[in-house]
Amino acid sequence: MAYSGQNGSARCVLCPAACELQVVSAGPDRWRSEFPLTDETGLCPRGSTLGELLGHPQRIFSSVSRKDGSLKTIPMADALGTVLAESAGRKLVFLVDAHIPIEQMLEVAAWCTNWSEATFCLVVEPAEKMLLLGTEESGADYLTDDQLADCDGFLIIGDAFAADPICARSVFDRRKAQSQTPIATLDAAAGTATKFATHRVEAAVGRQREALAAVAKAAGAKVDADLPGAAGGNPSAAAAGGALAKCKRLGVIVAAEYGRGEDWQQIGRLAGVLGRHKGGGVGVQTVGLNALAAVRLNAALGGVGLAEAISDASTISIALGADLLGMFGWRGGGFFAAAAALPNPTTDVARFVLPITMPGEWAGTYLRGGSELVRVEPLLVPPAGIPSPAELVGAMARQAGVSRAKPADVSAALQRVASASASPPLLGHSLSPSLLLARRAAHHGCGMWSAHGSWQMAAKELPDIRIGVGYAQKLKIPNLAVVTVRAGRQELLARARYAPELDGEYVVLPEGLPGARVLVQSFIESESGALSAEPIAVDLIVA
Amino acid sequence: MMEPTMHRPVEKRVLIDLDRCIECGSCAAACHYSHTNMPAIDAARAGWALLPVICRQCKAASCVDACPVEAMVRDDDGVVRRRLFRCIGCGSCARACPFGVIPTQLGGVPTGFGSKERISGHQVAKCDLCVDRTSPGAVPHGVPRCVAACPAKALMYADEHQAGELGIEMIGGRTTGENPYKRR
Repeated sequence: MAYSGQNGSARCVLCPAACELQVVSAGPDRWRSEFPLTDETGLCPRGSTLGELLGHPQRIFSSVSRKDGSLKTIPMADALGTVLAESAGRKLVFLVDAHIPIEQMLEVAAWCTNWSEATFCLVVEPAEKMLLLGTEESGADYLTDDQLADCDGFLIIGDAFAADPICARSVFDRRKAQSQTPIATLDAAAGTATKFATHRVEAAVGRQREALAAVAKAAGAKVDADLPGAAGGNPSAAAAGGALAKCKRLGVIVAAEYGRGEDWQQIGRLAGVLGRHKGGGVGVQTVGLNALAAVRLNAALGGVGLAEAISDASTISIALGADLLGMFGWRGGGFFAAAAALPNPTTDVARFVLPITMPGEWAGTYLRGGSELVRVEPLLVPPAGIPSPAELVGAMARQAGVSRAKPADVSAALQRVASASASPPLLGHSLSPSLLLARRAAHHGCGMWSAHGSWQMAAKELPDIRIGVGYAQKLKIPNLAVVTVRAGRQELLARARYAPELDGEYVVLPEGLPGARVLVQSFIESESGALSAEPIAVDLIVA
Repeated sequence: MMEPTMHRPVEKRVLIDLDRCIECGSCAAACHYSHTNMPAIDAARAGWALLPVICRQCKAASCVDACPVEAMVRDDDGVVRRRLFRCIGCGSCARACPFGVIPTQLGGVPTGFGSKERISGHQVAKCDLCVDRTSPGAVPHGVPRCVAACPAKALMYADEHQAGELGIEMIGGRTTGENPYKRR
């Protein structure tokens, strides 16, 4: 592990691009993100929102308890004491949002080491965790956005341009320098990268892994012969693989979509094998800069898996920044305690709501590109009396009479995760129309961070639901019509937008919206115990 | 001092390389957060496109000619701007604009940051090229925020005559001329 030469600047930590930014005053106790005057380094809508979120009017500043629907403000120490008293004799699990710096992750683990009743889970989006486990297993190098510019060909899986808009710059710069650069895309949801593709790999929903195996085989990578798709039969995959075979340094850029976790693990492994075979590597576009660090540290420091953490009904769950209910699309249940900077579906029902600091207020180390440690400075000093997630765990541990163990060594804890993965069955059934949740640049992952932004609220009062032109005309849905999207008893109002690149009978909603996740709820798979979600059939009704 | 259409137009404009735009909305968000919640950039809503529409700073600005209260003016630096407290929200400029870049939805000064409540609903949003960063007197000199924010480098702050050197093809480039209506 090595620290980069650009240490000590304030950066956005909401995706792997790690854009430098600063905030300026926008009035009393209000801030906004500011942009470099001449250095056009870019900042996506999520980074632009971060400045406003630091002084958002809905910021949670005090502890509250909820009883019979009414809220009562209580001092933080009383809140922690009550939480501890009510959880006496039961196991505690801290569900910690993985946006925090590595030092805080180590701190949380150190407190839990000597606390026999407590454990922790560093929460990463389930599909992304599986994707990262796959790329870890492949042994491929991780490429930063800057390193992608040195590649002479690209395979873009999922809507990576929406997940990390900065990575598009490297692809375009390379294409401008060498116009024949192959850009292959593999995205059932036909995201923004699709319209720039020189080769588009046809892949139905739930069949991306099969298509990727065919691409890898055609590009000359060694893939198991019994892997679905490896036998061929997909002309578009063969053409893309043939074009990528000529590359000397291939950049495989991947963004996992919501759901189908085990599928993404296989996709990650295949992507890594292909990138490695062609002298390049993978650029995994995750939610948050430290997602890979969280996956590695959770395994190395004895954290529990997310499915394991939430499946035991006798365990008391305390969410620290992680919006579990928003992430899984679960509603109607309760939650014991949730700490957050801004309201989200989990704090909306939690018995105890606690304030914590948020991205932009943390100083610490982040892992970039698999091996580069980056020191990030805070944009602002946190409000007085508001603890960080690690400080909150420490405060509770001290009240419980627990002493802290010595934190683990960073370099040793950040080693690659070794895992063996079985090949899960492909999605065998066909649904019509299938609803997919895909990335949009305005929101990312569970979108309650950026969903509080005033631009996000004003510009997208109705989310766009993308639909293929032919399919929309078959359903008699005009472009820009307001439609009700109904799945079972859940529904969402959206604006239909024709997407010429989208084939087949699919419709696509932004996955960052908790309202969209309610339509495609996660579940714990009975065999593997993993968290997942599958495409579902929906009804579209013109409002 | 600002007088209607008396000054030379700006030399540099915000140009869009359509072959790099990934429809991320970064430009619109940057404009929104830095212009007191009155964004002058919106996505084209007609048809299938979702591309930013940004003021072209026309040489013969129809919005300036159409404004009945001289709220829309070309300033000393050649930038076509809306004078906030003169604007009565009649929408004449929005209707006169041949490119539809002035939003017809009226904004106003917000009563609280992030609030949708407005003191006045009688103002249109208009791109001023982030004059605080781009005017000749601005120190240090910079580029408009939408250009600085664009992750894919699809937006450029450049002289339209440099388009060839920049390797982009100007669509509708002729209509930045003297009479956009005549040339349509």
